[in-house]
Amino acid sequence: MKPRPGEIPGAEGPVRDLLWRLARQPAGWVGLVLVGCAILGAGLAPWLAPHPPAEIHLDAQLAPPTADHPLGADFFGRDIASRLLYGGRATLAVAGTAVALAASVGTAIGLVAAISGRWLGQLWVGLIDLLLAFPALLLALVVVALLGPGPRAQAVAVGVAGIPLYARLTRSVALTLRQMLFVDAARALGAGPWHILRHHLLPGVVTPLLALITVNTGTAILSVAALGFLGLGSAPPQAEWGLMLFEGRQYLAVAPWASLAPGLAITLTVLGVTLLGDALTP
Amino acid sequence: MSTEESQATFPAYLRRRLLTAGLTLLGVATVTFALIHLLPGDPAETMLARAGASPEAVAALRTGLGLDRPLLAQYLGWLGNLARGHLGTSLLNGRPVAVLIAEQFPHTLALALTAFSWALLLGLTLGVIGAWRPGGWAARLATVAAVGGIAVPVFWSGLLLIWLFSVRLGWLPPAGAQGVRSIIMPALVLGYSSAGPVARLTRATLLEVLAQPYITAARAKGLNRRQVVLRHAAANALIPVLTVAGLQLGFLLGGTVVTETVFSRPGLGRLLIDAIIWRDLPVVQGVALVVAGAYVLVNLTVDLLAGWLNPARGWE
Repeated sequence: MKPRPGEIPGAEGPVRDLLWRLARQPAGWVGLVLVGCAILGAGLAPWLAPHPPAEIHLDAQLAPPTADHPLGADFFGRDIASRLLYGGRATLAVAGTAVALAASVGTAIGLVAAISGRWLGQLWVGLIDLLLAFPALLLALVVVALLGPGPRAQAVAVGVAGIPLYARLTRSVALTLRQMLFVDAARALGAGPWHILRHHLLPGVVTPLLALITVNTGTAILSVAALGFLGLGSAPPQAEWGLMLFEGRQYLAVAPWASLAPGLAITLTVLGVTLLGDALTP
Repeated sequence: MSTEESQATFPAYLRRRLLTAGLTLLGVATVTFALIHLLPGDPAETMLARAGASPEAVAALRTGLGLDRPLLAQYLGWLGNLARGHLGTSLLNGRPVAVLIAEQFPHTLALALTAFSWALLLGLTLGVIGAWRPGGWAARLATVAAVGGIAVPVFWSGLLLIWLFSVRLGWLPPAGAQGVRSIIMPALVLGYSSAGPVARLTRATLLEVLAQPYITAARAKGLNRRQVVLRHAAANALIPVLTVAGLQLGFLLGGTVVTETVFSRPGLGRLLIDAIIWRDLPVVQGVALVVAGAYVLVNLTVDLLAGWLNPARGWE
């Protein structure tokens, strides 16, 4: 096998490195297509949806799929296809916010922990370990208990549960990099800790970080939908995938399509993200 | 050299691990104590806001929870109560939190353990098949099934099973916790979600072990694939799998929350969700403490077990 340019970390830029890896794996392409569909559907919801998501059609209560309602209708006669598109917006936006929160705060903590001295560093490690002592969903639920149910709590909760993952990864990668010769060289040339952090540690952290972000996005979508399903996220009449399942569950016997569509949407999106993550992880 | 060598013994390792676990438990207790003070606004008012309580009731709750005492006194009181097994009283029904948890815990434990056995069985099987002939159709199928376990949400696969086995076929009860038959579907669904990570790690470690020289030597001796994979490789691949399996048991303790809701089963999950909706913070604190505590103990056990199984790793 020929050595690829991406072998040297950061030699060709992290994004290029990831695209290289992706290009060689068909499963990654499938993932990319699934994720692309989910994002397009959510982004173009106002143009693609046949009906407004909260519009009530009393003549179509629990109606099976027809030409007018391609995926059927729910208990209020609301069009499931439209709610699915708008629901994707809510679920993906909340999950995206959560991942952004976890990645930024977690990376910052990890970097600070890596450049802190021995005692302070240990203190940070202790804090990270303490957060990891709580199962992720439990941690998320505790945050919801503090903030009270709602989409804001949903995002913060899932984000907080992700913070220790990023902190741990960033710290360990940065610690390895810190012992490299080029960091010593920079220090010998008089570079301060902030300069080393910004120009020598951060670039090396980006590639593993992007892989973790991909994997974490899958978990985040599942957790967001789980909170929605538990009735702790968006409130009716909002459309959100987890909430749609929570509502559809009551009419499972008479209208299984109301539960089928949102569940399939979650599964395919998470599957896409997982495949993408597998292709991107070294 | 001699000091470092002498420290790397099992008793020293055990002492250090027990100390870390003890500190983590103290940390968990501190975090759960802090919860009530992290509530936005006045904790007593926030908790009773939903019920629309009178100022007298809020004042009574403040005294009842000891919120008017100095912080350090509250903290030491909390630790002292924990040591005696007191977890406070529910705001909703006035019953001791410890009793509420003791009532629900058996249901959750039964579900978590059944699901765990199923997750191990399925995960190991899928992992071995996935590593058997990499690239073959059976291996591909097993890998897809493992990814499915990660991607399919419990609250959806649960609904699908209810629809098939309860609504259509009428074989299994859709809800409740009466009898063995009611645990089948929840355990299948929850276990499958945990089998995915186990299968992926089993496959990855097996493939790594199978590339070792001693495996080639075993093959050269004339042993067939079955003997090599199951006897020579599996024994060494099991140790990292054990660690992830321990993590999964902790994950299951959390995952029961969703599963219990899907199947309307009693358990810690239902207790916690109701407590969150009603802002019954003493119950939230109690459940969080018990589940996180169990998680810490499971991880400690797994670490010690992995160390015992693989002494060559050393006691660092």
